[in-house]
Amino acid sequence: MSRIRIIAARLIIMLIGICAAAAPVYVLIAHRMFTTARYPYDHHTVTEKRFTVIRKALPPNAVVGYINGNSTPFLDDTDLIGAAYYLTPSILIKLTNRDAIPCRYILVESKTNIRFDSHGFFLIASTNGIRLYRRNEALQ
Amino acid sequence: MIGYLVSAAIGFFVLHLIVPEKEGMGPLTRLWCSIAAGFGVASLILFALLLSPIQDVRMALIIIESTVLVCTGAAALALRRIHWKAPAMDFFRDIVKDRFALVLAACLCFGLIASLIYFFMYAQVGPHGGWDTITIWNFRARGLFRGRDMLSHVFSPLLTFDHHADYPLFIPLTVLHGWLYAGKETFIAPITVSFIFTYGTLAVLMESIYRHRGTMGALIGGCTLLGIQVFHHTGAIQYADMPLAFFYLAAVVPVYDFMSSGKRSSLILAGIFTAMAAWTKNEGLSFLAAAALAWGVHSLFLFRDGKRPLLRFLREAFFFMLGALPFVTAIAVFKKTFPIANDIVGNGGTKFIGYITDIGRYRMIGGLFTGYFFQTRLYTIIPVMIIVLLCALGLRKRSPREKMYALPVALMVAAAYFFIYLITPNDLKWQVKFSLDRLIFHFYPFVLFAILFSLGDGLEHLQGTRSR
Repeated sequence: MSRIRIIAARLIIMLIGICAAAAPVYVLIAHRMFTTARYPYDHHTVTEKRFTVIRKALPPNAVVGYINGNSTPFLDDTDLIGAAYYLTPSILIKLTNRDAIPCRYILVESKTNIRFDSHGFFLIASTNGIRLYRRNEALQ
Repeated sequence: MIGYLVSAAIGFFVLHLIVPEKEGMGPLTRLWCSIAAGFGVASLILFALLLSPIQDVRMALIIIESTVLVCTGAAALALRRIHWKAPAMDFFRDIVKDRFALVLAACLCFGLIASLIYFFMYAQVGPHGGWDTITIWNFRARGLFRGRDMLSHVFSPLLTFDHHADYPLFIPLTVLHGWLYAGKETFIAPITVSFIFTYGTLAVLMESIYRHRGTMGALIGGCTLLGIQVFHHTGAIQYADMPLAFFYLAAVVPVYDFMSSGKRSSLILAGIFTAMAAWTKNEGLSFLAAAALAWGVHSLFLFRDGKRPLLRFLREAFFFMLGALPFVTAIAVFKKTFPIANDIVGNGGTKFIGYITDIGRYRMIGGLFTGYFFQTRLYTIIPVMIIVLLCALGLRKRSPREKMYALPVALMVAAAYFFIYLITPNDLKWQVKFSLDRLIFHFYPFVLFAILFSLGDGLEHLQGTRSR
């Protein structure tokens, strides 16, 4: 192999080596690991604590509904899967018709102003920002 | 982490029974493949227990694994001699002797340390992992841990399409395995699993290249893997794409070992890891099909040793299937027990023809692929550098079999991925945007291995100048 090709190959390999050293540093900086303004990853830990209170109030096989819509913007679809993660193995379903709620448990944001009386729901657990209601069996 | 130590020990003994110490494998590859194979065995035991009527799965798992450990350990000790080989000291001696290799090794060490810092910092601030980890892998593990008696709920289609309930269970079961031994849900389990596969990929890649192409090849291999951002981030966010890339690599390397040594134990290993890729993610099924097809073509048409090709193919296929069968069976049982439609293939319906004939979709996927692969934010300048290095060093002389395995497999799997993108009923741009970088990474380690395996003989000349 000619000397020029060897030098060229070495140069390229050196660049690859520099990339190997630089790429993880770039990732560290890009994901703001050394600054206080990094992504709010701890959001999960906080949310998990909130949902643990609710999960303990539920039987493990509960089917939990939540209301979503313009009037009650409690959770969007992104949060739904998040809530399902924390409430697993309960099944979380999105309710679109409030007149026929097909589940025994319902999850709403604390601020949501809904009258549950007609469906016979009563509060069984409440935590920061979220409330869990259970259907009154006697009224069904 | 006793659970993972037990499964790793089982894997070590199983692997030792399949591949004797003197054959092929280097110590680091053996170590990491043992851990991976042990996870695989544990996931199969756990899957069988979950489907059984046994109530106390934790106790049953501990009893069965202890029994398997004792049996495989006794068999391995009785049938084979075990002596631990130190990782190749020649590798370090070569580095110390050569100034250029020393500088390259320093870059690699710096990159590795920075990568480890990133991994552990991310594990601290984001122990739940990335989006797919939350919504698919750990989510499923949580469901199985909290409600083992209600498997159908865990795979409920009511949990939106993001849940991917049809994905095979290797990762959730491996995480669950750790949790069952610990007796609680601990973040350490998924983080450990991700750590093992992330840095296992690096170790297996470097050692495999070292065995075939020497120190310089191994250093280049390590640097090209550490030199891409996708590697660090995919590992830190605990995505299943990292184990999948590991299995693709661990399945391809033994095939090259078989081509050079002819040891059938390599085929069993290839079978195990190919099937484990399919047991990890649906994408692995396309790899399984591509690997089987490529192997068939090889065995029947490219390998000429004067013997009857069909007979030889059947014999090789038998050894491959011997390794693959337990996992293929588990996949079949899983798909039959929980027949959940795939969100892409299962929902396409009559729109298939429209999607396939839409030229715009081809253009979009092709354009995004090129854009992603050569995007410095994801793959730095490594792909360009590899192409230039190939031009500088050329290719060495290889047998027809060596020429025609990894690349056709990679092309077939890429074609399968392309087709899936083509028929996706989801928003194509969204689908490609959030998955393509990881899909490219599936191939990356094993294609890298194949490229460095094929690089011209000038690779060895690069170590020529010694420092005085």
